[in-house]
Amino acid sequence: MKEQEDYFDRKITERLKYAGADAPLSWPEMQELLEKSSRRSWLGWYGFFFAVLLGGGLLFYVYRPSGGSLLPGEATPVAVVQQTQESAPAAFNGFPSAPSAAGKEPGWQDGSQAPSAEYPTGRKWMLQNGHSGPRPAENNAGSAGINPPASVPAASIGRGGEPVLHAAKRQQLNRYHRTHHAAALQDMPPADISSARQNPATKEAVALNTVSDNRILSGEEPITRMRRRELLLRDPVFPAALPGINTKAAPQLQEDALLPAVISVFGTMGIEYVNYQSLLSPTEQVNFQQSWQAGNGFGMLLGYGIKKHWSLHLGIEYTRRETGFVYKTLALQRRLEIDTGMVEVQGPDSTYFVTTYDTTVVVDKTPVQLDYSAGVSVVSVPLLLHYTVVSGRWLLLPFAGVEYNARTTYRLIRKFDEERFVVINEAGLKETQSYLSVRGGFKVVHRLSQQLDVFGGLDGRYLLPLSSDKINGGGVNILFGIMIHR
Amino acid sequence: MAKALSSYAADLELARRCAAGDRKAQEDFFGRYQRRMMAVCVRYMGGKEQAADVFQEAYIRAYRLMATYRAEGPLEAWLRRIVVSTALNELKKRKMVWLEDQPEGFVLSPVFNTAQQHLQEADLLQLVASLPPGYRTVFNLYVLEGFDHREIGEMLGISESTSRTQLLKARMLLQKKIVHADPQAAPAIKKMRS
Repeated sequence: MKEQEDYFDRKITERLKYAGADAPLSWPEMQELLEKSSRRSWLGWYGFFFAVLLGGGLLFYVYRPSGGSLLPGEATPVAVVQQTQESAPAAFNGFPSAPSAAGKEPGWQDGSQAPSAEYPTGRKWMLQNGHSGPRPAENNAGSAGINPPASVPAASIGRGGEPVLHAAKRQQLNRYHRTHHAAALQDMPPADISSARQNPATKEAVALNTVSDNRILSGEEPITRMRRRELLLRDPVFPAALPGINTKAAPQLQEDALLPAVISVFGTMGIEYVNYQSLLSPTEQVNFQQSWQAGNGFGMLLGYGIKKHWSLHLGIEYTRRETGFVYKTLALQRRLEIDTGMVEVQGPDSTYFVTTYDTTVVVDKTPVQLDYSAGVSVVSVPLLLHYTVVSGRWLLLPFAGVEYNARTTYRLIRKFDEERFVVINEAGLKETQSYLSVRGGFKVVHRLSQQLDVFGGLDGRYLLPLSSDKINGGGVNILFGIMIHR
Repeated sequence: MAKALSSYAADLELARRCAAGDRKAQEDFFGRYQRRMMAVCVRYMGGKEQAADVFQEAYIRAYRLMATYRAEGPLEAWLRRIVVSTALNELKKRKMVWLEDQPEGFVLSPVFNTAQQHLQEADLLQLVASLPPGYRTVFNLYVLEGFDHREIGEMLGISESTSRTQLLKARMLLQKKIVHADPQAAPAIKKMRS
């Protein structure tokens, strides 16, 4: 039985091992598929990097050190503090530190002379989680060193000069106090802590002093999500960073100012007209004909508000461009008398031997066209100044700036009869050369939500011929992407 | 031996040029093996449409992996492995039914030899392709690729005995198809039965 099986198998193998069937596609179709696949693979990589950037942006958003941005028309916390410290009566600056043995703080005046403690109700506090106002130790006023922000909402001064919080606010503060009191105490000198613990009023003060929740210190009404949305839609000017920060008073806010107000993740598609002549040999340079390069890229920008309508964006961008070149002079092709499978090609400045599969033997010289192609990868660091024009949910952001560009890879390939000759760096090895460019354009932004915008736009770039290799040219790009607000 | 080494060197050169993006070499590579690889695809996949999909995918994979060819064997065998592996991946996506009932032993038909000789290569290929997927896959892997039952079991996630059963059934069914497909074999069978 085994022999019969083996015989059967052997016979089938003999007939089928090297059997053939008509291929479902011809070579040109296969070639097209290969090119598509190569493009898809690049798209896949772009998609991957775009997703990484996007993910990074979202992670940044989720784990950002502070929890909100300034809305239009809102003063910065520091500005409020400074303003209130300047404008509030000296007595109020002491409020509501632990009463001294005499029951009143030095400088604390009669309640009748004190201004209303509902102050400054018009201001909205947007202090971020984890940020306090001026630290107790850094305050001048208040013997116990416990000095709340001057704006104590929904509170008034009692007969004895002690602070009296309105019932609703007290309830709110108590709730807050339970969770934040310990954190507040951490910032205080030990002596102050013990003092604060002995006096219930001081506890409130501690809570007030360290409060960082805008819902509590927002004056009369908490800024709800809805309210923020209204404000956003009413005047959605690009969020400004924190200007004029008193670093002594608020080192954390200074730190905060280093964080961008907005992150843009974007892709680009465009064409460039860049002269790579200087990469060629002198003879080739004469014959070189510049051409347009199509390409695409992606990048990320970190935006910092500097004024109400102005913002500065710093980032990084990767672009990749491919092009074909036309060589002005024809090379000469001479097939050798003996068929060696090689063809001699005499270019304008050198001679090449090309492997050929054609067995035709030609002894005369015939002119042939040499094709060139170039591939370039550039990493750019743009610094762009944006101006914001607002129209409802739509924003127009014209921008301009400079860019540092580092060409990380480039290759220039000479082709003849589908045979490739590397002129420069076929493997695309790193051979960084840098140059500067100026860039300008505009973005049209649509605000999807308080934190997320989408945008499209157009920009132009001009390469400054300052680099050693004298690369010059320019190009235009279509931009598209998203903006994530802090 | 020297000839074989030389052949591998030529294969290596071709692969190197394909990997470098040389279109002429890629065309040569495509032209050399396309018919055989398509036949492999048909044997595994059954239908021509599915075979064409696998063929395209396998070739794209091969071009992408070309730089990994180390000339440890002929380029054709290397490509064949890619084609078979692509076909198996595709087959694994489908649900194959593995019948466990043990058939009786295989008995070679006296008319098998003449019947298979009368068949054209393409017809025989079609008969193999027309076997049920489970039979066909095991038969191809065992008879034409030379894997043993343990390896087939690992590749397809089945037991060795299942693989044996599938092979036995495949042989029996294929022999039956071959004999029936040969018009000259039919009278001989009738005569034998009578």
